[in-house]
Amino acid sequence: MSDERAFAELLVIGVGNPDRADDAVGPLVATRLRSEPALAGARVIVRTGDMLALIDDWDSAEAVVLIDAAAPNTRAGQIHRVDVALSAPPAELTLTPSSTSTHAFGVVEAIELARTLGRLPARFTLFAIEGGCFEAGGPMTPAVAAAAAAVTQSVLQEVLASQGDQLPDGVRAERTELLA
Amino acid sequence: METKTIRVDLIARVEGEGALDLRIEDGRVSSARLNIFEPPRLFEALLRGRGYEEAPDITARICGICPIAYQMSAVHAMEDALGLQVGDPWRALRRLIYCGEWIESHALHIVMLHAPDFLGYADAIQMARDYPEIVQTGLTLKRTGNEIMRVLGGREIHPINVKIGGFYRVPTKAELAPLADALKRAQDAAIKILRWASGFPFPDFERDYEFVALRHASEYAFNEGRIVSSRGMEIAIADYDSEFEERHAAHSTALQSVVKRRGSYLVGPMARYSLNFDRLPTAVQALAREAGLGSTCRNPFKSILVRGVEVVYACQEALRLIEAYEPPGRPAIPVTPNAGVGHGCTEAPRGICYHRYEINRDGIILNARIVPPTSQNQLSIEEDLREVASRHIDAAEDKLRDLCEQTIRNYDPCISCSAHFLKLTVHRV
Repeated sequence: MSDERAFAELLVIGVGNPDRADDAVGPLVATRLRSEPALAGARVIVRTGDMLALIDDWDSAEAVVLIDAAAPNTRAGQIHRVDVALSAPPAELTLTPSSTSTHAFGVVEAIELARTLGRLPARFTLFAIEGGCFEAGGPMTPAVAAAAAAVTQSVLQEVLASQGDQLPDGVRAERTELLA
Repeated sequence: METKTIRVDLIARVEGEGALDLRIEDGRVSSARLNIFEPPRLFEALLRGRGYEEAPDITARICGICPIAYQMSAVHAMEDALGLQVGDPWRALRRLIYCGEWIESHALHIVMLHAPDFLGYADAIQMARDYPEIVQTGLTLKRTGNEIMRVLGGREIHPINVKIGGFYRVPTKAELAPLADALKRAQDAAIKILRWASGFPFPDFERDYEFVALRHASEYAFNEGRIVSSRGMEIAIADYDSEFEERHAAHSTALQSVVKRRGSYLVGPMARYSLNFDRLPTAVQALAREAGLGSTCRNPFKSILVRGVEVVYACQEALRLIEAYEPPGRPAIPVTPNAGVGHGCTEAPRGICYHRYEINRDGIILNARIVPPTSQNQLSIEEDLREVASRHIDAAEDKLRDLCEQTIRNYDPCISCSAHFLKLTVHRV
């Protein structure tokens, strides 16, 4: 079933600190996607710090899906999907870490710097999930955990829908069936 | 009486959270206070009761930018407590991983955080529109530093491979070979960036700092040496407490360090460079002079050039260390715990980082003390701000605010380490 060449140009990035409650949602979704047979062949990484390094990470990728927690704005667990290749993330979306955190360069800064330098992949989707709690050692908020499951499914369905043509017909059918 | 207040809610391009409170009365600066309001992080307390071997990994968590500094000071302090001398090749490997941290930290600060100040950009993203090649070069340089840390430390953020007595795993020569190729390119990149920065407009500003740094018998110091100052101090690392003390200031959650008999002092690239210029290779000295530096630098705005010189040096030194490397037969010297007190002081990118540990015969940590560079520089930052603001007292508020922010960024302050946002408030009374 697996075709190792499939999704070779796809990079999935989970950003966040696994030990800070809802900030763990990016790494959680990435870890789940890494073990998803339907996504076999894709590169899946977790970044916990040094967001500038993301630019190197996605240099060789044609398509990127990045999952990160966002500061509370409406309600915990609210999912925002942004087609980053088309436009910058909206200002009200404060990703973690960002310029308002203790790190000088966050995900948004890395994206915009890459755009300026012509190093932003042509297909780039950001899933941001609003968190409710970022306490060190704290548990994930139930609404954010539920959002993690929903985003995992959304990524799988989007990838297969938009890039499934990279797969041999049989493999594509099998992977689609896995998601059914 | 007229009162005027300028408020900047966030000073960007620094690591950490704090605020600056500048008070101007009757046309003169009456106070300049760096208010660090980050809650205390209590690392010293949480180290108590942990095993001696845990100190390098726990303290590395203090900072994502300079974890090696904490690991190196911790490992040397513990080895001091255990009466352990660790020579080559482990010593050389520790010097090499420190080169990696200097390269990544300095490259980040020079190009991404500090250069926009001199060229009038709000940030590196805006600067990248006009200087894409420089920004790309800076990113490449930073990546090279990170790669050294990854190969030797297991990962670039909060490395996990440094061990009391050596390393958990040492690299093969073949694993270091790709680093050498990258470092040759990085060295050229570092020279290019130094020459670029040397053309910046630098304010005519100098202060008579007491510089404090490590000085080694023959090397530009990273991990070893005596603590020296530009005012005649020369002490063993173990005598740190005889010359320095930490004081609590009500407006800061970070302790402020002073030289007991004199007060403020300055650590970091300018101090290191000015006290150790003769320890730099001749070719690096020549590049420094070409960039407009003398053997001493007292202009904090030119610290960007000193960092540039140090990046060139770190690239050269890393190359030298890789070429000379012969892997040891074992990754570390065996260690037997015993009761003792140990001191360690190493040159973090931002200046000396002092650690002291007391352990019992089972190797359990009874007491820990950590003095990071930024807490040592707090008073110097406040004095610089007072002086800069005094000289530009009649400047437009925006101009004064920009100058104050730049003055803080001269220090590449790591407020996260010292106790984190910077909010600038100017009160004119």
